[in-house]
Amino acid sequence: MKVSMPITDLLKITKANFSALFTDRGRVQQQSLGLTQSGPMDEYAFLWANKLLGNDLNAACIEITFGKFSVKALQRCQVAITGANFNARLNQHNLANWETLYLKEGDELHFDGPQMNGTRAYLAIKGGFDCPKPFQSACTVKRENLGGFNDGEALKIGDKLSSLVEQTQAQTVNISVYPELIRAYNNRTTIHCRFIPSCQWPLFSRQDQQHFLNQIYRINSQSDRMGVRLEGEKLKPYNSGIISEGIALGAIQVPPDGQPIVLMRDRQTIGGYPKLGTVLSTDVEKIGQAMPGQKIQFHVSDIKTAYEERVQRELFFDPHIER
Amino acid sequence: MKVSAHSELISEKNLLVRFGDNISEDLLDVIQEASLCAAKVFGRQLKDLVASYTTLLIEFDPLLISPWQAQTTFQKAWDKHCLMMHSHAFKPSQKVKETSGACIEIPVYYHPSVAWDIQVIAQEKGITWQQVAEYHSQKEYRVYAIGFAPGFAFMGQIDSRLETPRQTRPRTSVPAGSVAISDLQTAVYPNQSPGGWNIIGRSPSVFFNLESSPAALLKTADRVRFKPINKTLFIQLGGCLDDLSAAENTGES
Repeated sequence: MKVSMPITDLLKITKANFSALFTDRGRVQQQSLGLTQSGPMDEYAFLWANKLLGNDLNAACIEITFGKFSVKALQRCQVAITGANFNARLNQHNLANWETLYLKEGDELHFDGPQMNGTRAYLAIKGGFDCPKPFQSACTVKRENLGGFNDGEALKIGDKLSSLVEQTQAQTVNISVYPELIRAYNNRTTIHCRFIPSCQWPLFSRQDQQHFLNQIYRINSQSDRMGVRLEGEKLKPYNSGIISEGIALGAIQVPPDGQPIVLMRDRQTIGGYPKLGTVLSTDVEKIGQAMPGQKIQFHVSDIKTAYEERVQRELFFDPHIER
Repeated sequence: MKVSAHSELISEKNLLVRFGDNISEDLLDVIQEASLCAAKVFGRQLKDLVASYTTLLIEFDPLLISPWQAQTTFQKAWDKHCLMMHSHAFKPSQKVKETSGACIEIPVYYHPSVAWDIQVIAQEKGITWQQVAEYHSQKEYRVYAIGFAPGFAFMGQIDSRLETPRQTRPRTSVPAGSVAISDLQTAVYPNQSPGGWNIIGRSPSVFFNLESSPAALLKTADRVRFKPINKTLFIQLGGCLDDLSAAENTGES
């Protein structure tokens, strides 16, 4: 896909207060080396960012956590923004989000901090960002020293960004996502999250199972791309540990302190805490946009629902996908 | 040997297969067989495989195969595989034998200046630190799983005379190449990272390097031996000693 041409810097980062990382759909087939799969915390917003630009759905985007991020255009280029509402502005004009934008030289795109409407925004560029792809993925994972311009480090002020394709000169009209398909992410409301009871679920006491389903947890601030910690009344895990086994995206593990952790995109490949089940892959992104302190409740679902939603999701974004 | 598998769909794209409840070397070979079986039967439907002590996590592409089909397909393939070997005791296939046959020798400098916990362990066990090194380097180990960090190999089982629980407070930083033990397991930290295992030596070898192929020195089911080396050889092979202040912290100076 990459055409040989001189590298052209299109954007320069002028503000990066929290974390801004390259991401794509993840590092596949590398878990046997102990590498995490990684991938976007909000898959839906990530896929929309690429789809709006007609990009390959696996093209590298920037995941901006907690906002306070700005880029300046060094040349004309086309970008898209989706995900959390960080009061995005083009120069001084407020933007609607979930739309494509043409930037001309000197334009500045700003993201303020969180507005209680999500915690992660996505910035895509026409053709996908040109960035290192260790093990065939753009995903930046600090603890593995992989991805980004500096072996696992987040993007920083002064970094210059380019695209894998030349930016078309002709400006066409900006396009945006249908309003009914835009996610609102209200961090003041309770997240309702479906999961498939599995793994060690039958080994938890009936009382603990009920307790897990009935209580409203709070998202703990000690959460990251690896795992989101929950706070509630303690469960009494039937066992402090099991023999380590492979971990699926969205696994809900219960360490000895009785406070569940939902394992997210940067989860470890194997783990030895008992698990209550697996959050639906189409619900994991709700947790990915959660704010520390936000309320969350879990509901029983099943494989059939998870499968139907997954197929629907993939076909929605790529109707011509090979099956 | 009984090689029945119990599989469970834990998501729309993950099948977790359990082969037993206890860690054993035999099970390690069984799971290697199962990995090959899964790779063969799923082909391009396969997204990832995570082999661990008693389980194999199979991730498939749900657009190419439904979860129920995936479960049935694997179960049938595995039953057939086992049936072929039913007439006699389970023997690993040639391919598993080939891949797990060779023994990888890892040079280790066992000395309190780099082995931060070797003296404490020796004291607790009522032996010398040289004996800790001796017991650790006498055995051949198998890699039971890779995880925790890129290229981090969980190996077992160590001499029970060295059995030591992990530290109650993990260190925030353990140097790359640190050879460590925890309970009956041993491992080498491929890169500098936080860690709670007890450090009994340091290897000059490179355990994870994305420039090389394969990137990780060790893989599941490998056979491993640790070979004691002296300081000169350790440095010759590219090993790094602690700086003076760190050496002082260990009470070694």
